[in-house]
Amino acid sequence: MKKIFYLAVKDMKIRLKYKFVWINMALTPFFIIGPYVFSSRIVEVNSLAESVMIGALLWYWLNQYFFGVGDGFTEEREEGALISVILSPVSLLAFLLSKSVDTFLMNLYITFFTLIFFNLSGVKLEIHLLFFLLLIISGVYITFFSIFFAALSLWKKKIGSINSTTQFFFGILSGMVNPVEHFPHYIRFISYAIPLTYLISIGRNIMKNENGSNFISQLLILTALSFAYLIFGIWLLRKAENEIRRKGEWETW
Amino acid sequence: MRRVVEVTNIKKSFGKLRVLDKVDFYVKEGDFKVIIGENGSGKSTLLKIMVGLLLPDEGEVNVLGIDVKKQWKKLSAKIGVVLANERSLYWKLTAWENLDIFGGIYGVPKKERRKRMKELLERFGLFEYKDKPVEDFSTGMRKKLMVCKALIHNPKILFVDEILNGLDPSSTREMVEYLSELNEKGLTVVMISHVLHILPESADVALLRNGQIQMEVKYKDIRSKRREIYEVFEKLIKVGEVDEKDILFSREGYEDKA
Amino acid sequence: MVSSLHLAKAGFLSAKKYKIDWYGAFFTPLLTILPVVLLYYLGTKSGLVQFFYGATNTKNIFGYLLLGAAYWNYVEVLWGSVFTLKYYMRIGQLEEIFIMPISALGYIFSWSVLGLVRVTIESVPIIILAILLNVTTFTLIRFILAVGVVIFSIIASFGFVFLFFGVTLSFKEGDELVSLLGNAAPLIGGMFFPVSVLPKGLEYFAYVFPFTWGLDLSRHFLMNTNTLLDVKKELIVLMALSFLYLGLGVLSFKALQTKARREGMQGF
Repeated sequence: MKKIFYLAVKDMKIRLKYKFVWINMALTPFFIIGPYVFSSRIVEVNSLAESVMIGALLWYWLNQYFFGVGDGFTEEREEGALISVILSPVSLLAFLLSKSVDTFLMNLYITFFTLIFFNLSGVKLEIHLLFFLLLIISGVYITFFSIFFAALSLWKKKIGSINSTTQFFFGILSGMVNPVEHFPHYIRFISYAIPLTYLISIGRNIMKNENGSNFISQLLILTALSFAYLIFGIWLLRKAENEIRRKGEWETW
Repeated sequence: MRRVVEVTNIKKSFGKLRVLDKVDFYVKEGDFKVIIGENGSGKSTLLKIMVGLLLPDEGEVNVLGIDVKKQWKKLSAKIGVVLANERSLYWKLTAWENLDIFGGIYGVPKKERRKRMKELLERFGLFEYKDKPVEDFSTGMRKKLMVCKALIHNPKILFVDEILNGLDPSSTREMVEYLSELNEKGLTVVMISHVLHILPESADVALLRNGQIQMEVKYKDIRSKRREIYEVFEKLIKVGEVDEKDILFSREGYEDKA
Repeated sequence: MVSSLHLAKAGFLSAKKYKIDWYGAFFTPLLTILPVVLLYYLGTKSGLVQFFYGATNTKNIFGYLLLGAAYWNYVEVLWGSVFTLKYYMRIGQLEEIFIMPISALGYIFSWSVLGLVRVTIESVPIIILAILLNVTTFTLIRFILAVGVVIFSIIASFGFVFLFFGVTLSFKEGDELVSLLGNAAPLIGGMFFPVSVLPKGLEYFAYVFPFTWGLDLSRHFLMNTNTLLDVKKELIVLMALSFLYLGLGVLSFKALQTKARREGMQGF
């Protein structure tokens, strides 16, 4: 646990060396998800804009986890410092978990500013405790999903190259702008394998102030699915680690 | 003295290229072992196998009684490793921050860590630069910091890959003296080096050639009245042997596997 | 120029090792607009079509978005060279690269030539599709005018990329600036809907952005959409802004490069 803490502190310290990155992080999500939210507002149905905003915001959380955790090895591998972490008594899983802590903190920062900017633009979300609980749950379960992706791209390095593309597919398929119920059933089949689908659905239920029992079943499925990704991810991580140790490719990318 | 590193019958290939072919190698507690060999002879491969970064195709690796193939992470807390790549530090962080983070990762308690960081940085003349980011350091300063990082948790064995390359004469001497001093205090050192004119007198030299350890000899025994020491090593590395006239002292007690 | 081509060849050979990147690069612009397309078509379709027709003079939302995506591809492709610059800084090869006999323009060219080829291949079907969807308004003259508008937009884009290069060399954070502007540009520049729909603060910002005018004009020539100003006036605004940004970009690059050479280029 301490090791994870030190690694997360390291990420934060490095980020503090750059100043502009903080401005970028505060503004970018607004610009990225803005087109989807404002497009939905054009038709002057406010509830649609809010619904899209929930979907897009949670999708943005997934993006950050996929860059931070899913692509967690790349930056340090390219810069050369990863080898020092690999040589230390830190497991690959602990390294990814430290990235997840860092991403969670960044996501809170991002969300804070995004909500302010949308509020100033006339799109307001009613924030309450359940919303924060949802963000915490997203943090944990999307971490599990991202660990799976990180393991996959460590095992087959080229998979990392389609990280951004994959994120768009996940966004669309998980109902970021349109509820998945509108999709043909064979597409819905894929949607239900993506944890984000359940998070978005639960988020929208919370915003509609619906009874908790409506999303308990979704939460249970989400939990089972996320743990399945985690277990598979850990297994794949071990496989990838042994493969790299056989080939000696810690410093290549 | 007990053997702290035992490499037995190691084979390693990359594709069709056989790099190590039935390597047997051991290091005793307190040794200062220097592995020499031509470029591409497999020295770094052997070092990476000893620290667990690389898995051999065949053979056994045991360091400090730990099976490195299976429990390399358990071993990592007991050894220090300095690789050739200067980029293995966090360049955006200061020297102090780097040591603090790595000390934390290696589980060194805060109070002890701070004390050790100060000692190490002072020993290498880096203390006054402790708040400068590593990206502003010179090559020599970075190499010294890499050694500090590897020693932050007080390891039992230090593995060093080509640390002397790129250092100026006085930094080279300082580095060798420091490693020698640590070795005298009980630290086992395994080092790869192409800089051979200034090794500690107590060092043992192992020649890696044609995928095998072909010869082990005491460094102090390799002296010549008629040639520069560099020429002696050049012939040793290239041909795998030296003229008897170039060895002043008896080689009795050392293995010659050629 | 020849040296730049060799550097571009190095980029091409490296890119060949990562073929999967190409699929990603091909899909990303299309995937960016897909959620909006889905939103319109699966959601409240009729209200939006009416709105679009009133604001833009076209009901062809799909063609409107496709042209927006193709335009941004061209404008942004040059900006990608800054990420290449930053990449070389990160892996410690910047100084090696910078002692080559290549000018800043040469680096921008060699690092974006691959992207330009890719964007052209990728955009041809998009443009053909957009034209087919507006076949009644298409003429060769209008097409040539649209190409001219894109060329002026690329001139403005060069201005931006020079500034980004300078900032990256001097302050190391140029890539963050590119990323922020690259992410903001589609929204502010009207890729998804007319800028008049934007919240007021953003709308004013959109008008000092040359690409807002470039995109508005290229859509007008290819789809006969409404323009923000009279077409002639808008062409003058685009040209003036393009040369202004190019001039400012080159000047700032020169100043920042000198600063970087004085302070050292190591680090990232």
